[in-house]
Amino acid sequence: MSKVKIFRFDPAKDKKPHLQVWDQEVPKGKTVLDILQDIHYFRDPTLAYRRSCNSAICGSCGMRINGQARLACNTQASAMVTEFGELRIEPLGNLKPIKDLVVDMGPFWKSITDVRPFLQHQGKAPAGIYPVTKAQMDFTKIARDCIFCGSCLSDCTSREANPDYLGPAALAKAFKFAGDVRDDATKSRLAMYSQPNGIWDCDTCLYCNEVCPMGVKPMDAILHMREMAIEEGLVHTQGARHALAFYDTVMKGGKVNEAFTAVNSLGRKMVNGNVARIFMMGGLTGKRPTVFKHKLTGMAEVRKLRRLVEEEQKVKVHG
Amino acid sequence: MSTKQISQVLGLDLVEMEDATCCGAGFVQDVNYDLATVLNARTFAMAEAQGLDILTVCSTCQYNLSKANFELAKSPEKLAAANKHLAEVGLRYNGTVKIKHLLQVLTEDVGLDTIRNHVRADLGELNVGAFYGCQLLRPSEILGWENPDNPETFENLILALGGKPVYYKGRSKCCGFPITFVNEKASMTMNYNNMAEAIGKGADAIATSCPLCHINLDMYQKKAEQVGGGRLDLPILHLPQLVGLAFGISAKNLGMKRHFASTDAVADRVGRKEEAPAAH
Repeated sequence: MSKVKIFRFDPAKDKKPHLQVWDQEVPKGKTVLDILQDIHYFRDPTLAYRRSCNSAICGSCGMRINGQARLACNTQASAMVTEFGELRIEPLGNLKPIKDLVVDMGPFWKSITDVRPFLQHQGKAPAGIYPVTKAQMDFTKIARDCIFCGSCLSDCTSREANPDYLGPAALAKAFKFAGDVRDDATKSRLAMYSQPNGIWDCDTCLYCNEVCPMGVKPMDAILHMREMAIEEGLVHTQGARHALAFYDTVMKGGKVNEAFTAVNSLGRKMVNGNVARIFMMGGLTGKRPTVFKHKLTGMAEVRKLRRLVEEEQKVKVHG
Repeated sequence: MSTKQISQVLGLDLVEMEDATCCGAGFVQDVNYDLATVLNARTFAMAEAQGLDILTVCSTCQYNLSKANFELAKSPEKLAAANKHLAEVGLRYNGTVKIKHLLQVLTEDVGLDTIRNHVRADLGELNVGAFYGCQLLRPSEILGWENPDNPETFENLILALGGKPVYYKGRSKCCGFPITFVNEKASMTMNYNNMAEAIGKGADAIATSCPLCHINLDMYQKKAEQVGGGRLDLPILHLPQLVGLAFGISAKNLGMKRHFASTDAVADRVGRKEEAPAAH
């Protein structure tokens, strides 16, 4: 017998959710979904959860299993018990529980539709087949296998702190179209995704890449779009300004200069802001590194490598 | 400075790579990803030529360097492309360098037994919350040295040093630093929530393996208190500072006086350890 703890919440009866503890057989080979079925069929038919395909393709059974978002149908229950001493099943995070393990997916779908997830043509689409090379399609491979299970959104630390942030699933979907050669709206897409609560609000914590059961890499997709946005000249957002300010100090001296990065990133906002106070105090306590840094002796090498890479990139883009 | 001090105690021979560029911290990658990879390959080539592996004291460096190294090792085309440029500056990378964070070196290479043998001060059962920094654990595909769901390394080190590890969910979450300039409110919310949770679980101090987390958790603590609406007053130590304290190095020599959030409460609790009684 193993301890199986399941999040229970019935809004008709409960003021607050609670964890119900079951002593349950967790034999080797059964998935977490099998365990939920065992409890639902034989012990408590009121237990609510979503499931459909049982093959890790429909995305219905995303839930938090021992603290991390996973699919119940492709997670071995006994492995969880071995690792954690118990099986703990909770609903996806960052979404409101409706009943037991079922959450309101409304905000998840709203974020997805907010990124305009469809190809946009401006009269250029060919009438028949649109030929695309494998290399062109491979660019967006990291975003194409999403099954809308909500695992990445559940564990996204930026969404946790800011419910208005579009989140990893939606931005991975956004990249699927922004990076598609058949789409004619790349620049307007990138301008839209560069707005507050978009690509620059990702805190790069990597939870999304880690928890995706399909190997989608939402964070990498977001970083691709940041690079694409800067290439398109969308440099007046705070995120782009900061990245460019940081980049400039590294290209000048080889190392980051925190002071120049902050001044160039924040500009006039720096003068009265919180950051100025922190920098002043940092100078006094010695916490802040020196403003004047020695350049690398190998700066000529760094500049040469930069020139070589940039020349190669120009050839790639302009043929 | 604290890393140098504890390395001296442990007899680790560190060679400072003065000519290495910044890892890019994700920001150089935001502007030009390929260039960041080539510059990091330059760093690896320089280490390789000297027969060295690379030690980082930063979760962000650990991720960005590991990612570049992982991609170069996985793709012969990428490595060849990088080497084509490196050849122009007289360098070549063969893909043999290992990149390890100080936490890994202390626990895997030095070992907890050796660490225990060097403990000279009593941490007074200090309750320490480990703060890993998100980029030290994920993605496991690239970093792979510790289980990101249920990490134990830092906690085991705290135990070996004579402290009491505090377990809290936020220990492997984001401190907020990468978006402090973009969305200060969200950043401070993360900062405050993680720290308030650690305090709720009994933490007297935090030790972090990432200096960028340190910036947010220490320098921005007052701002986080304003956003979160409560007091934190939580000393934030760098990982090597905690090790140094247990090794009997003074708080001042470990740079603990330079912090924004006072570390005096921690320094005051650390006592000299009684000499072990001679064996009969």
